[in-house]
Amino acid sequence: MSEYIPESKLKRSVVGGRTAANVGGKVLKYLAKKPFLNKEEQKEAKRDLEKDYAEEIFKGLVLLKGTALKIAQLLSFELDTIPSAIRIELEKSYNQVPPINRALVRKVIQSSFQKSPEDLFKTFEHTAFAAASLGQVHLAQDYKGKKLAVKIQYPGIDRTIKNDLQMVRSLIKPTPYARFVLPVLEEIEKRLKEEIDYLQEAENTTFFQKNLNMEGVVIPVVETCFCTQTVLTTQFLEGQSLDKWISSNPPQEKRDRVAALLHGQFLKSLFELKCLHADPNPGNFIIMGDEQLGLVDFGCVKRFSDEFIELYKKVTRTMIDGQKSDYFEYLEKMNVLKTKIDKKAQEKVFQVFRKIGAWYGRLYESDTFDFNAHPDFIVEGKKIMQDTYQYKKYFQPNPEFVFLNRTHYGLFRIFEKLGAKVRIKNPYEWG
Amino acid sequence: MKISNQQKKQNRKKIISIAVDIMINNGFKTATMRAISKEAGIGDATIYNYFPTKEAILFAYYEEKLQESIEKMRKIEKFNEFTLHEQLHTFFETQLELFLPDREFIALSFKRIFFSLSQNYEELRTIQDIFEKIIEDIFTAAIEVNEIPPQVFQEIIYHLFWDYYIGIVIFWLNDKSDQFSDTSIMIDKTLDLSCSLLKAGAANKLFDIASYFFKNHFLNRLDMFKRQVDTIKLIKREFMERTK
Repeated sequence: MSEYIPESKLKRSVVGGRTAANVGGKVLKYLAKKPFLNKEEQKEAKRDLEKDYAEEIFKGLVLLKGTALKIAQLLSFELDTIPSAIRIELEKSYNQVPPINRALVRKVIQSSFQKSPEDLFKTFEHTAFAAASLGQVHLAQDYKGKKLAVKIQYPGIDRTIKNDLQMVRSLIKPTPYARFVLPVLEEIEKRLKEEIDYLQEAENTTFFQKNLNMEGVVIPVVETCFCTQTVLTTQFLEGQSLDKWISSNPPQEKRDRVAALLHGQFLKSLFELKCLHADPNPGNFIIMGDEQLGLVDFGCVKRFSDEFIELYKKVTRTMIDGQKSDYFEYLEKMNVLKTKIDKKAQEKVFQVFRKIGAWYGRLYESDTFDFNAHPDFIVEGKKIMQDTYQYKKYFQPNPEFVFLNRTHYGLFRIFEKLGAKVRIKNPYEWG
Repeated sequence: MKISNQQKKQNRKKIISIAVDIMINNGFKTATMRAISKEAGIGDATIYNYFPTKEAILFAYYEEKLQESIEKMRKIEKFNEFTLHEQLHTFFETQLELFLPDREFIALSFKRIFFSLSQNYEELRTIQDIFEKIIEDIFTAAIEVNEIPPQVFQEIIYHLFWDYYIGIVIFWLNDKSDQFSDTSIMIDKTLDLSCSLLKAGAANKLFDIASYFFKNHFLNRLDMFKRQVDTIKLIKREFMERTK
């Protein structure tokens, strides 16, 4: 099977080394050209070079698949300069993990419970019914006949993650992105480490199951006796995954209802529980009977501080109708702006944010936003974000945003796919 | 007093398991037949009815574990639906799983057993035969369902798997990863390669190349040689006729 992750560090380093060599070549080319260019041309050449950096690095990461790919995906939300070809590649391969063969599945269960699957469960399907982040999910039945979803982790994934992150770090360090990306990588490492700790995930799931309490939203009950670091067992939710459901072409009112549930759980999690299901991959949403929404896979959960949430509540209003002074006061509080920037730069930054505000404000213009009527909404936003990137020297990253933006973006993508009318305006931000 | 076959089997099992314990605690050299029989509650002389030497107990241990693997694999639901790769992988994992409680004993005895070609060839051969029979069964099943084409030199392939098995156990003995996941990944990846080669009929293709060269070169030479022989025969005939 060609889609196996190259696991040995040697092989992965070779791929990494190749990428590094390519990047190095590009720098030499730039340096050789530099003396013959005038100032404007020099600037442009440098910009091209930066673009090339990103391209080479991401090409390398895509080749490595597995966790390196996941890191690349997460980073791609941050680096809006990444060429679209690579972005498409990254999005296509979302959650693409190598399948775990049946022998390995047995081995994981055996070494976790000192029992074979036949002894542990009444029935156990050796073939997985769904892929999960860094693992796969099998259907089983306990001796009382209760249907269970058993998630199994790919053996040795922890070390692969460690190696991959180390490699990405060493690739990024010599590039102009380092200042931005390295703190973000730290955040990514934390989340990935949590994601492979299935006991942590069990805890997260139970937290949401006990606290979210929303009508129409179902969170599976964790079966603690069948849980270990690498095996997570929950109640099985009968239904269809969101993308399958969408492809069955459901009527508009049902789409709108599902979108409302998705948005509702996002708002309640963020503003009340201050804790977010931060993996808005359509595979993690199950459409059950009566259009109930099942939420699964709480591996990637992001918790926020009270202060951050209080600040975040004001972000939309400030962006949409704030004055220049409001903007800068806000940016300072959020700790994203560098302390010393001159007036000219301030004006530039303000203009950019105005633009973002105008774009984002469209969501709040009327009571509901119709994603069907604005199919280019996300594309436009991306373009504006890319423009922001040229002012990157005035900013410093706030890692809190990485997963929040990712979740937001993911949800909008889903709304777009659903072609739904969603009530984006909400009492938390607008109350 | 005559004892039943059942009892005999039980005694045999007991001797093996006690010998393993003693060897783990005291090492191979200090574990004497007398100590083993005493611990097993069997007469000093009676133990020789079961095993002529201490080494024989070691061999019996590995033989028993192979038999247990077969039993365990038989109990797996829908094992027949597993691919060749998965069946082979399950077999190796099952072996390691059975070895696990006695890992220290395996570390102590494995090389002694599996690299003792000249001394204990007969006993080792028995283990190897059981092993190769298991591999053969798995292969035959894969050929029956057309997963792989019939292979030339199947015997040689089974021998290669025997060497591979020894390699796996040694790798596992040196594996320090959590739940020995490195060994699992190693087995997974190496089997992935070898099964792809088997599916593609690599051995058959190599054989084809060899036979092509053989036919083209060797047989041609033979043909030339035959013509020369014919010429000699012709000359000989001529000579005989003329000298009549």
